[in-house]
Amino acid sequence: MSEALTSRQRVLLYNPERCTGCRFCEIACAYYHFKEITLEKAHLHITFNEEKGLFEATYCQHCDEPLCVAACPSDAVTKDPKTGWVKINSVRCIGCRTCTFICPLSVPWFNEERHISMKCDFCDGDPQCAKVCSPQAIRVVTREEAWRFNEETYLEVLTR
Amino acid sequence: MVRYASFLGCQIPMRIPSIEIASRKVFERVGLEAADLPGYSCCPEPVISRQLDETAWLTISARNLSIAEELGVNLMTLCNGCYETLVEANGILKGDPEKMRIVNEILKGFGREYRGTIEVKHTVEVLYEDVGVERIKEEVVKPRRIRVALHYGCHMYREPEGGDVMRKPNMMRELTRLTGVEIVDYGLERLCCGYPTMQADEEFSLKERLLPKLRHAVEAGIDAVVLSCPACHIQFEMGQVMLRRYGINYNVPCINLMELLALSFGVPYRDLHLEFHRSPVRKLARMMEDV
Repeated sequence: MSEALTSRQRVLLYNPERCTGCRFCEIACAYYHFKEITLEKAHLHITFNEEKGLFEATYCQHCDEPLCVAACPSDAVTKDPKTGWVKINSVRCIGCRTCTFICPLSVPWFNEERHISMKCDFCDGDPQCAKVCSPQAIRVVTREEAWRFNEETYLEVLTR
Repeated sequence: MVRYASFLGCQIPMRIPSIEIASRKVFERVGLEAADLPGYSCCPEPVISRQLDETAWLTISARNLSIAEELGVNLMTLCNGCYETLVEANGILKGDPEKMRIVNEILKGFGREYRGTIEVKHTVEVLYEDVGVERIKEEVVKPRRIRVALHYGCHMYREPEGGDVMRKPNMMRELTRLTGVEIVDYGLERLCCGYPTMQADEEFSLKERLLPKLRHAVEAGIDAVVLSCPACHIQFEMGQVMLRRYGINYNVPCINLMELLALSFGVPYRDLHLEFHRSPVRKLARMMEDV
């Protein structure tokens, strides 16, 4: 993707300061994809540290240069040149789990029933996680906005 | 006089009717005319039913909205979940003429139509904005001197894109303060009660969501938890009972904001039928009579 396209790419953005830990995002995600009420089959996960009172989320960033795409031996993981969304083709996937090991966040997960890896597919443009999030902790924004937010939220902490 | 249609939802009339009783007494006292919605149904539930079939979800919501529209009044909800569904569906229908057309096509078969002329508000908004703090303060004849923890409930944070998500929780805080109680900050106000995850993972819901809240609130030295949402209320009350299976014993009284307001207005606790609760709310109310 060109730089201009990259900055305009629609991505998910999580604000831990707004999250309530209700995990409706996970329930909606799993229900949308599997028609099951479960937390285990969600493509994103929310964690809460009671001691520190902090929330965090693990979710696909639909990277500019995705390691999962580069590492997949069966070319099952592709990045759409127009939308920028990274998806796994379930027919091509051989279930080797390389994508899970290579991903910095280990986002792709192994579906034991189907023997393939699965991950966020951006719900074909209408992410259910963002739709059901009452406090708007998960939102759909441009990558540019996400960069700005993450720089303000995390880089400052890291360089302190 | 302020006039609204009061949408009770399912949980309040079926499981915790004392909230309905209290709300009617509160509305009457502050001069808020709350019309009943004849023939209303489930809102319906805001997450799974919406995913199951969005058109059905919109149609059922539109049917409920059309009943208030027919009465010529805006609608207010006592339940956070009903608020989420009805405010979201109302926004979608008003902003999308095609969806409105599809929904009305279905409603026509039931002799109804929704034109999109009404607004949906949470009861805390109506009490705070339409009735006003000063008017409510006039009615507080028995300030309640107890220490309480607040639980707002996740759906209360719902605002239009970019809105202040703390707007309604702050109103609830202010309304609670009017009753004379001392609000104790326990640090986990924002954490979900665990109700949404109950169907997916009961043990997680109880131990990782409800329990931390109870632990922190009790350590902060509270007498009761004040809630607005009946679903959260059920989770707090039944959750405490269910935690006993794991050898964890809590018996914290959980009281709805409407009940607390009614008690502070001097309504005798016996009139509220607090026996429907699964936590010692009656005991709390008796204790408050003596304080």
